[in-house]
Order: sequence, then C-alpha cells, then structure tokens
Amino acid sequence: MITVQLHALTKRFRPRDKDAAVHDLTLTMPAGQITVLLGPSGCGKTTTLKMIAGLFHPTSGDITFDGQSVLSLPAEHRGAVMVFQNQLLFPYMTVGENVGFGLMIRRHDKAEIRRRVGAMLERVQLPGVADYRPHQLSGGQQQRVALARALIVEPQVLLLDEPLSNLDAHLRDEMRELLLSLHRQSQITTIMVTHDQQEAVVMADQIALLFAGRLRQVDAPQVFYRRPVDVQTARFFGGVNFIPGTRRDARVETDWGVFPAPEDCGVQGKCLVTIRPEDLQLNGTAPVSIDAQVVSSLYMGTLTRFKLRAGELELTAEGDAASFERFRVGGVVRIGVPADRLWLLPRLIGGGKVQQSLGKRKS
Amino acid sequence: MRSDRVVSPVRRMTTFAASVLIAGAIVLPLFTLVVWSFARGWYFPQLVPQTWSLRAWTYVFSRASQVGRGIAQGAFVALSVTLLSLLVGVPAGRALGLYRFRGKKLVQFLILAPTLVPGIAVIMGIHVVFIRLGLTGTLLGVILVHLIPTTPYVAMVMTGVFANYNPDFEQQARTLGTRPLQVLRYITLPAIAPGVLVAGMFAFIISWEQYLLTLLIGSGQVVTLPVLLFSSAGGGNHAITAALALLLIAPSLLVLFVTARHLTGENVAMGGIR
Repeated sequence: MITVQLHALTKRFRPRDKDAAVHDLTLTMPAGQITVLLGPSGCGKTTTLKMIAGLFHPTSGDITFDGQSVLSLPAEHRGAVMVFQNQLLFPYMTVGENVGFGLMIRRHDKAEIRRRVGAMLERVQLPGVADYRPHQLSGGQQQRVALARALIVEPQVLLLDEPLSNLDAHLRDEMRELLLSLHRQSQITTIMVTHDQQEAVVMADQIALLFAGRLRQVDAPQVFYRRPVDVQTARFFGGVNFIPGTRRDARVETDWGVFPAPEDCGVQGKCLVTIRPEDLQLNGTAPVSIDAQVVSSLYMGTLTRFKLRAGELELTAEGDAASFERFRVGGVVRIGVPADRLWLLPRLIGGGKVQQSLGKRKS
Repeated sequence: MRSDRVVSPVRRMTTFAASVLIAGAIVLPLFTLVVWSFARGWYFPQLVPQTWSLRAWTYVFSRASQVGRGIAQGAFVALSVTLLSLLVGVPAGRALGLYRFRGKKLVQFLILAPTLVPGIAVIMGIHVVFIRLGLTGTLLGVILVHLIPTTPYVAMVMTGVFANYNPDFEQQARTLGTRPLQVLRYITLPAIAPGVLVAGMFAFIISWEQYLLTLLIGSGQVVTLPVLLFSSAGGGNHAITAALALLLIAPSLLVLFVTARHLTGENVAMGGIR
C-alpha cells in the first residue's frame, strides 16, 4: 500500500495562462483508502489524475509515493494504472488479450497469462468472455473489462476517471458495489475523479473538493454536509438555506433571533447561517420558530420538498411523504429552527462577495 | 447498409450502365495494349492484327532491352522512396491530424505546395543544384527528387488517418506499463496500419511511374521502366511499347485491387479505433 502525496502541485498548459488548470494543490491520499477528487467539469480533477499517472508533467510542485518523488519516473514505471472514462479497450484485440495486455508487455508466458486473465475475469464477474471482441460487450461489461485490465498488473495506485458516469442507473449501482468489494479485497490506494456528489459520498473514505483548479475542502464525506467551509461547497452538497447573521463570540444574531454559535466553528463577525433542508422542522417546536408561506411543494415519493418564503428570505425544507397533503401551497407553516443543526459560513468566497451568488439562488 | 433498401429498376439499370461504361473505359485500352504486344503487323482497315508474334515479349525479356535493369533500379528507387516518404509523411500527418499549433495552416499549405506547382518548374532549379552536389546520374539523386511528389501525398493521407485516431489509447497503454517503442508497436501501428499501407502503395506507384524527374536527374544513368517506355514509344515500335506499358502498370493494377475497398470510403479497418 502506498500513500500518495501532492505538494503544491500546479499545472499550466500554456506558460502565459493566467489561471492554472491546477493551482497549488497540496493533498495526502492515505494508503489503502479511496480518495475522491470531486468538482464541476473543468475544475482540474482529471488533469490532477493524469499528473499522478505520469501522463502530464506538472508545471511546478511534487508528487510522492510513500515519500519518494515520482516526477522523474515515466508513466510506465510508476505503478499507477489509470482507467479512463470511456474504457478504451483496444478494438483489434479480444477481451482476453485486452485484459492480459499488461502481462504480455511484461513478457509473462502465455499459459500464465491465460490463467490469470481467466481468474481476473471471474473477479469482475465476467467469466467466459475472453474470446469475445470488445464491441460485442455492453457498456457496463466493457467498463469491467477495463477494470480487470488495470487490476491484473497489480498496480500500487489505481486511478479511476469517472468510472460510473457512462453507465445507466442500475448498472451504476452494480459497478459501484463491484468497485467497493474489489477495493476491500485488494486495499489498493485508489484515487477516483467524479463530478457527481452522491457518487463521491458513497465511494469515498475522503473527498477532496476542487473548484477552478483550487482545493476547497478535504474531509470525510459526512463533514461536507454538516460543516462545509463556504457557500459554494454547501451548495455543491445540496445546501440551499443561507440566512445573514453576525457572530459575536458564542452567539449568532439573525433576524430570526439569537442562537448559540456552533462550538467548533471559527467564523467571526458578519456571516451566513446555514441549515440543511432536512433539518428544518415543519410545525416544529424548537425554541426559535418562524412563520413561512408555502410557495411550492414537490412530492418525491419518500419525502416532500417545500419552497417557502419568510419575509425577504426563500427557504427550502423537507418533510416526509405525508406532509405533501398536510401543507398546501399558499398556506402558512411554522418552521422550527433547531439550534444544534446550524453552521456558520463566511460571507466571502475566494475574495468575491457571496452576496452575488445569493442573488441567483433559485435553483 | 444499402442492400436492404428496395432499388427501383430504372436506378438499377443506370447503375449497371455506369458500371459497364467505367469498366469499359479502364479495361478496353488495356485490352488493346495486350493485343498490340502480340501483334507483328496491324494496319488500318484491319480489326485484328494480320500476324501474331511473341517477338515483342522475347525482346522485352532479353538482356539487350535493359528491362531487367529497369525493373531492378525502378523497384529499388520506388521502395526507398516509399520508406523515406513514410518516415517523413507519417509523423507529419500525425502532427497535422492530431494537434493544433501556431502556423498549422501555413505548414499544411507548404506541404501541399509541391503538388500544386508543376514539376517542370521546380526541377530546373533542383537540376542545377544537384549537378553542383554531384547527385545527377545517381540513384540517391533520383530517390531524393522522387520525394517531392510522394511525401505530400503520404502526409495528406496520414493526416486523414490521424484525424480519426484517438491518442488516448496510447496513454492508456502507457499507464499499463508500456514503453514508448512498445506503444508504437502494439497500439499505434496496428491502428494506422491500413492507412500506412495505402499511403505506402501510392508512394510506390508515384515513384515507379515517374518519368520526367527520373530522366532529368538520372541523366540516362538511372534507367527505370518509364524511361525505357518513352524511348521505345519515341522509336515507334508499338508492340514493344505496349509490352513495356503492361509491365509498367502491373503494380498499379495490383494496388487498385488491394485498395479499392479503402478508396470507396468503406474504411472498415479504421472503424474500431475512432
């Protein structure tokens, strides 16, 4: 098992580019864990992955495997195998030749390759397809062949570029289970890239969130829901309620009243108070409650999502399925705000005013 | 694709007529050549020669005709030219087909330029230079000058091939532990092989049938089939000219059969790598 570390990693594709594709990225990916690089498309996550693989050379910074710099090692000697988003099975080879490619290159003998290919295809639950051509397999099967081709060379680091995004919903669940169970068996340090927050949450031991080539937050998945570092991060994980407030020492003052500030939050002065939609109580009995008008409601099967208006503020709250019948559009509902569910965010992100993003919040 | 569609009788007949016309335009002149090569005397009102003879063919295959030397030198030149123009044209095609870079349009134009400018305009200047360098009358000189028409051709064909090529396959192979030369052998070459084959065969044909450049730079020292053919045609012996012409176009016919599939656009071999 290998610990992968990035030290102030920066990539500019052209020397004169003002904005780097990846900017000053420092990150530790612990041995044997799954780290997910998460971010919207174009945030530099695939670029980072390719730098770890050795396919791109960083403009500055360092990459270490167990403390040893690998920058001078070409891709083929890094022991970091990448599985691309669109599988890239070699079309003029059979499935078996594809899976055995890495062994053939290393000049293993044919009988051994055949044996290991067969065993590997069984591990990815595709026994008996060795003589097929790649195009005879479905997308999900091709994805598993690509995974088998990567795992057969026993990589030290497994790099997955959007491994689930090309698959249908039901195949995605299957593939996710397979990836997790293979990881439990092999304990290979895995770095996965995705733009899908839910995918990241299910797969990751640790999520690194990137925006525009910069690292925003690194934490375990659940922390992103409870304690996001700023509004953009909160939004990316489904946070929608932001209430202006001011923190003075252990108290937060808002239009709704005064709350005790969360103990482990460092934000001071003017701030935004956030609370997740599922934490707002409809007809709640919390000490602090406000009246809000139901603007719209959306029945989602297992829950109901309400858009509410309280004075100047728009809020989103979630209730159970039955609440769809209980709270009608146009009616007024008492919203309880549980103080222990609040979190504070700075009003500024990346030097820009948060107020701007507050303006176009009707998502 | 087309076979499962119902084709109207009118359409089928037009297609048939067109095929006959095209086939006739290619085959009939060839047939005349074959007849000529066996004719001894063939004068105006007669539909077929009065007397037949193998004399032209026995002459062509005799030592005196220099045909053996022509084929050997022509093949040597054409093979060398093919190899060299592939060596230059394949990487050039890769650069033009895969990458975007400053001045790409200019490079593309400069590569195409030799095919736009008449050979005779270029060859005079080159002739003078080659005389100074002592390259006239040598195989090397002829090989170098043949690269002028063949390299742009190879570069153009390979540009098209690489435009449909996905270089991610190479990166995938690299991360699986493949060294650069192995990538070339196991990934790149199998993918572009059909294109390389077509480009190479056409480079061979262009060189094999080159007359003007060979004559001027070869100065009569380098004798290839076109040189023999033109001198024979000038001499007025139709039977020998016809036999030489048949020898000259034999490789072209072979190439036509092999590459017909690619020329019609049904480029199946490349389909998978897109």
